[in-house]
Amino acid sequence: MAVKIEHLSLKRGNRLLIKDLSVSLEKSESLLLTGPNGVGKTTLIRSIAGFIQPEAGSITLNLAPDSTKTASDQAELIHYIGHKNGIRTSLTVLENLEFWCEFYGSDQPLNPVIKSHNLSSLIHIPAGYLSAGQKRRLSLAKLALIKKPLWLLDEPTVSLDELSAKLVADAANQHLNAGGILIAATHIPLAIPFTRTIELKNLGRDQFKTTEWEELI
Amino acid sequence: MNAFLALLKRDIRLSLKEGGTIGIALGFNLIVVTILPLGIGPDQNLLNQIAPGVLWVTLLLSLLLSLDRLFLTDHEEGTLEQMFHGPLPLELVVVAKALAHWLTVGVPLSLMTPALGLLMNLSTEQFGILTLAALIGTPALSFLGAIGAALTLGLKRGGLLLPLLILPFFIPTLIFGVSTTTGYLFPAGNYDSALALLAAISLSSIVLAPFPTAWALRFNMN
Repeated sequence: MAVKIEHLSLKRGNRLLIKDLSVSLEKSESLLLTGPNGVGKTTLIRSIAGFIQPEAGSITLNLAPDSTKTASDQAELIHYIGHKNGIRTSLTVLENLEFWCEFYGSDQPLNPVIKSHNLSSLIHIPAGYLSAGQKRRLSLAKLALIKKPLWLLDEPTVSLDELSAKLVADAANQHLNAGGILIAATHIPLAIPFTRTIELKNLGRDQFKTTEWEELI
Repeated sequence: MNAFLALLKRDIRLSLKEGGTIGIALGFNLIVVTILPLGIGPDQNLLNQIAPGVLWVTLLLSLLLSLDRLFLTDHEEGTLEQMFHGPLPLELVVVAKALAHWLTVGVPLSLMTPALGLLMNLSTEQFGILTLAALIGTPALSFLGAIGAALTLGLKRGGLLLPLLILPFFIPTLIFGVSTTTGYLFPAGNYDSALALLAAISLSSIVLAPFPTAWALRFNMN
């Protein structure tokens, strides 16, 4: 089981954000992405998730315990928690959780997950009425509910209180101990012993492709 | 298969719960067909003659009104992203969502036909055949419409562009739908061929439309 990134370059619009990045992760390894806003953390995570095509280089995922799964099946083995929480606000908390279980085919019991994420008193409330932190907790409950080997977390603890942030760190540590792989981008320190840290840097102005507008100035 | 049914069930539940889509489509259809005879005047023969065409055109437009919501909320709330990492190929996600749209919008609109037919002085013997034609023809509208809904997903106010993109593709369904009752294309009373052609359009849309739709969704995730 491994994630292999080789000579990866990523672009958003005309801007080159990531240039010639190589890193590889084996099972139980974790990677922390840091760096200032707009440096490409989200872009990198979204490209590993398969939403953004690389400009150059490659991302190879080999997540299945057996090698029978094809490349297109790898997507099924990824947990991606991005800026959007991915919950339908007009469904209740319970309906959201039940849908995930049915959709992803998980037979995990719901109750322990609801309890551990402090959602017990909220289950019959439409998710739209939850606070930002509560929505985040609901979103993160998916990690516990459905077992997948690769976690991609983009600012997972944003708007969470200290206690809930600790809960995320505990869950991540458990995931790593069980042989999972974790890639996270965050500004807020997380109590996770990351095996590797990449500090992304602004590539500077020479990396920008000058647009006609800039040539005019 | 479980994932497919779970998604279908969820989308049907959502559209009943949110209510807006069905309500607007049915309400729009009713109001247009109600005011048309007022504008045209009480000529019962004329109304009877134009009834099938009017009913089909208002049905197309009402259904079109609800199409832009097909992927929009799931896109905005991030649930569509989550479905990328599910066990279901994106093409089947599209099938489940378009099927739910047909069941919650296409079917109720089709079943309204007899009631609206009364307002347009449609001959009673045509109620059954027109409703049947609508039921057979509307799946094509939901599935072809899904292509447009996916293409306009990333655009602000894409809902306005959607009708321009998609209405031309509704024309075959409209022509064969109307010809079940008018006898322009086929001898009057011989509606089997028109129904068969409607079914052919619907079935091929169900099979073919999910591929470009899924492509457009992937593109818009970028």
